Amino acid sequence: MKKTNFIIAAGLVSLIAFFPKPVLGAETKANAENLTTSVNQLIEVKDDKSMSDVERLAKELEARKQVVKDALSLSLKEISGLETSFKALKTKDERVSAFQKSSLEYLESAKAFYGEQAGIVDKLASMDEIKALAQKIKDYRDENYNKKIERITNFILLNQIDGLIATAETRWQKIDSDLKKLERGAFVSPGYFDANMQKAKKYINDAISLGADAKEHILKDFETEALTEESAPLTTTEITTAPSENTATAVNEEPTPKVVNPKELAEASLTNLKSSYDVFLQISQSVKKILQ
Amino acid sequence: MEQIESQLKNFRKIQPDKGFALMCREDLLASASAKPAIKIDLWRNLGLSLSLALTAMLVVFMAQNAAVSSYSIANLEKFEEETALSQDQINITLAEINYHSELASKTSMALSEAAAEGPSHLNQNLLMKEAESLKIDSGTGDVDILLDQVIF
Repeated sequence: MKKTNFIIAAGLVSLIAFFPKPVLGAETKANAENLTTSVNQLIEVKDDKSMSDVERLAKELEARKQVVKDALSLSLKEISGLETSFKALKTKDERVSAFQKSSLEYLESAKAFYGEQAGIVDKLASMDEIKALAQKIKDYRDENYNKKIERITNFILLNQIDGLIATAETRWQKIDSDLKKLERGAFVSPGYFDANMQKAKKYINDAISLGADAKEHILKDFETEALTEESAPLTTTEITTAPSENTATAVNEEPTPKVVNPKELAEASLTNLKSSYDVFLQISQSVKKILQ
Repeated sequence: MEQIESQLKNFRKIQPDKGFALMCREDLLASASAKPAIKIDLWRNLGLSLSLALTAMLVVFMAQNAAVSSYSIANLEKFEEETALSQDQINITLAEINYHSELASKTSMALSEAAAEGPSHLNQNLLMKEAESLKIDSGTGDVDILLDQVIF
């Protein structure tokens, strides 16, 4: 009884503590919509033949400025969301701490870069200047920013996935406890649901393994980059690995090496977790029929 | 004999020192007030104690029986509700994994448009087509709907 209560309480606590909070919040979404609007306006102005060239160019200049401003706002909002989530991450793992520290420093520098560009947009008077600025920001993002941001985002989400896994594990234990009670009460033959329970357990274990693999890839990628940052070109996020037993349920079993990356691993982890809940529901429906 | 009697009478006149008497009186009063106002003698109330213990045991027994008779897994409605919540959380996280890529592509496309030489590079139809191809396809439904569940 005490154990069951403890499991239920632990489940509730984990549900509250690990409820995934969106890394990118409502404001990011609003900024993304603003950017879409400003891009559409720019396209319309460019194609508008009803205005004189002078009038159109003046409007086009403003429209281009607006696109750059909205792109900067969206980027700054994205950084802000990631900073908040990453600062909240508590860890005793030295590798994670090093990654966290370095990433927060990078976010700070990116924020400074975007802030600086935002300060000069309105001062630009010519079409060439605003085009050059747009290109400069795009190059900055393509060079390092997108890769680093993806890595940080994935790591934060993988931590959220850990919370979801904990909830699924609690759910498994709770169901296991219920089934044992049913067996004791002779409602169900001993071991009747064992195969299903093992199946669900395997999905959860695979989710754990895939999540751990994804984190390991991120940390290794970060560490390799930190070592070679000044002397060698940046390594790619994609890592070639042979499919392991752990990834069998989520990644197709193929004899040839398969390219996987942290994002794919995280998705596979979540897919396994979803599958475990499908099994839970099947068991629940069977139990319901038995008790009717 | 008379002498003894007179000596004993003299003893009757003996009185304590006033300071000593006061001190003793205060000590007695203090020790009296330190005692509990209501004294429960468990031995005297053995019957009551046993009744309380039996009641407590009965409550625990009934609670256990109640738990046994209501398997949480059998409460399908509640179980499915909780499962749906967990599945939503998983779907939201899946959507978020892809949301960053969408934002990165959107920003990249916007900056390209702002940096482009003229209207010939991109037209609205092409952009619409590209934007459509950026729609999240995680098999989890519309990302906006999922994110709205958390955001709003």
